[in-house]
Amino acid sequence: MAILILSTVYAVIDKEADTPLTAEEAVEEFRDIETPGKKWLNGYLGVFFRFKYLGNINWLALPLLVYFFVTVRRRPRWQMGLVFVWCVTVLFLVFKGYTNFRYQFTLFPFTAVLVLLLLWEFLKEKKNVVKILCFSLLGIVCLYNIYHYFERYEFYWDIRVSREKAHFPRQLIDYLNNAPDLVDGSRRVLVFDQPLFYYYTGVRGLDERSPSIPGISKRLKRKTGNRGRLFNRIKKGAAVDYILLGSTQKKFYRSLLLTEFLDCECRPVLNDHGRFLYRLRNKPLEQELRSPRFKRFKLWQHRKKRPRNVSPWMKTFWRKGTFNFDYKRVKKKNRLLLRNREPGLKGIRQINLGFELGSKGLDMKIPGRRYIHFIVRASVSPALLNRKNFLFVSDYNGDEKNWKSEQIRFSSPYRRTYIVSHKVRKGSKRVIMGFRFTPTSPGDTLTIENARVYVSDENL
Amino acid sequence: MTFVLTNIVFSLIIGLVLVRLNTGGKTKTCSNLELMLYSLGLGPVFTVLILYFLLMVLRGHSDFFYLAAVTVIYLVLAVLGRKSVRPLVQEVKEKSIPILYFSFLLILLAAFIFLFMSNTLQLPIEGHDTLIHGNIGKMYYQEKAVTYSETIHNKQGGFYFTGSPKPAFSLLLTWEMIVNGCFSGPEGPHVGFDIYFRSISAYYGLLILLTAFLWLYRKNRYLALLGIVVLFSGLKFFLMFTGYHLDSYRMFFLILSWIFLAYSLKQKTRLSFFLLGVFSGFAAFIHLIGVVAAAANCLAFFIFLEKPFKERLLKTLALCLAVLLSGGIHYILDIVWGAKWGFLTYF
Repeated sequence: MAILILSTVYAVIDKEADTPLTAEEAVEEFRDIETPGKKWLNGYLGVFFRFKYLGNINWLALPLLVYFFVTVRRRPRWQMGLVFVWCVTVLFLVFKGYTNFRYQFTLFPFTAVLVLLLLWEFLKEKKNVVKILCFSLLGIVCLYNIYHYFERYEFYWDIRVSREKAHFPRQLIDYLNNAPDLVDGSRRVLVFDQPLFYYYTGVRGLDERSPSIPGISKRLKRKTGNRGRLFNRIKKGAAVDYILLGSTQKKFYRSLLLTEFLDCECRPVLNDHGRFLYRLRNKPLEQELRSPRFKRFKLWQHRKKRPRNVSPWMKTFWRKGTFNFDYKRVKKKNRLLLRNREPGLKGIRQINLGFELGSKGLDMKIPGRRYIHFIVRASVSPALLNRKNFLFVSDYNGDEKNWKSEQIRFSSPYRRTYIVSHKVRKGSKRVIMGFRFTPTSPGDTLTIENARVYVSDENL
Repeated sequence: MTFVLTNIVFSLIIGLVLVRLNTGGKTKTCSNLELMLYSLGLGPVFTVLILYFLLMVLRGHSDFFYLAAVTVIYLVLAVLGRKSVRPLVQEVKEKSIPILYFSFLLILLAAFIFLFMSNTLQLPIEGHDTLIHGNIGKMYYQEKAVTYSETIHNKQGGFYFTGSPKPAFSLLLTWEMIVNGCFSGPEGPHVGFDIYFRSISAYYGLLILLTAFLWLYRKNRYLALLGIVVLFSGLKFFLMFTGYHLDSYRMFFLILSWIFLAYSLKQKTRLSFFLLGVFSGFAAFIHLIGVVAAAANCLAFFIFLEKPFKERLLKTLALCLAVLLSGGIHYILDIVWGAKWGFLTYF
């Protein structure tokens, strides 16, 4: 009976979800409650059945509890009191603490010891051989649980005992504690939920939720917005020169204005064990691009009243499938809507299109050993935010006889500015820049609102 | 330094006072050695409770002032408990200790302490929750005050938090910084200034393990060894010794409150009743689950105590007062001046 219960529980709690997870389900997966079975065994009844974190004998408290209630009239008051408080706490954890094993852990030592003591009382009158057998079996069952989850023990041992895989962003802390403009207190760091910043550094921070910067956090978490205005508010208004966030925030806010702001208005300084530090530019991006250091070539013509003529230099490098090129004029700006016309969901459809220096009338010399910055404002269907859809700049080098590319994936279904920067090698014969569009469903769209290219000696 | 002072010296002083109360009554609540074991966990929490009241009432003083104030209180307690040393030593001498059995355990313990001190304790705190508690503790230290407001905002450093932290864990870091501030000068933030704070999880984990061991050893010494295996078969128990969190700190007092609930219902001694209130209060002072347990303890005490109704009611009210004075008062102040009902956040 016990073996049946144990094997059933292990089968349920070790099962991975079959289908791809939604964002909410991914959170539940992190908490080990993403399937209905796990939600019951690891969640609501986790005090008894969350074997991974709480061992595999707590469930024995259930039949002992039944036995207690059957014989309650014979029980002394102190035992009734103990069972009462234990049951109240269990119920509290069932309803309010089922998502987190830390809260369920509260009862683990008490319950485990209680199970052992009650089993001892139950077997008190039996022969020593029976006692030794029963408790030895119990020991084997417990050791099995350690063996079953040994990988996790090893994982944490490597991080916290042998320290082979320890991960602490020491480089980041040292940088922040030594950056001159932060140490003198004149500038601040805008911090997105990184308490280690305040704990380990003595520099001034500004929490993104702080009421002293009203509206900034809200604006950064919008779909789109005015980056230039936001830049001035953050840099001048709030005296902020750096932004610090973690990989969780980066992933969570990937589609929102914050990511565009970081990509366009900031320079990455450090990525240390999942913490990202950015430094704001001295000026907003558009102002910086107007300086003589950046030579501009406009690839998109908004003044053309016939949107179809918006970019005569654009060409298709490669295509498989059927696509529709729609041109529209919206608020005095010309847009290209590239739509997948291929019916059904099967088969590859893909198109590479863009621009090539010195081709189709694009009269630009190949800038060897200089940077090309391909700046685009575009959006793509929500299902296509993957590595098969991206912007790129590539150069083909005659000496090395190979292509070298920089790519950036589309990260938002909303209109966003993307920058792809690439240093062209000396002796490169071809330079191309453009879009890879790999739709999966009929109606998937890539919308291009603007495209420009800059050449400079320095990286953006 | 903070560890020896707080966890050993202060805990022993409290233990001696409890031993005196235990031996002074008509019946002993429990053995003196058992009380001394539990008292090893009392030094830190009682110290931060004193510090909590000091920082609320007498704000803005120097590190030395708070250290001296806490020390004076313990000196008074030491005077009260000085006569307990002899009966305690007597009790130890009367115990027969199987040498081989305990040598094996001592070797295991020594190995753990060595690994812990040389490896685990060298790792800085990285967990989000513990860093939040730490930042609040730092803020208490910088401001030399415990205040209540809807949100926590340290204007000096910029730390901002919307939630309702329970102060008992954070104040451990505050205490460490006060002691360090007196003896080694003010330390700027660096990786390594919080070694005492980091040791709390493993320390209370050991105390939980020892308490479980004690209760199982009374039945059978090999059952006690099995108990160790059972506890470590839960991955979270292992993580408690290798991580930095308040779980073992809050659980220890929860377990003690239940032990003394059983004692007070069974033996009805004054000490058991007093310690039930104190441990329930400490559990509440540390975490919200402790509040639930403290409330359940008071209710269970009222329902299951075999006394006339009036006496039960009066004793339960006295118990509630003990819970409030031992840290439960934090929630009343939080509701009135702090996060209001936001104290219902876990953490």
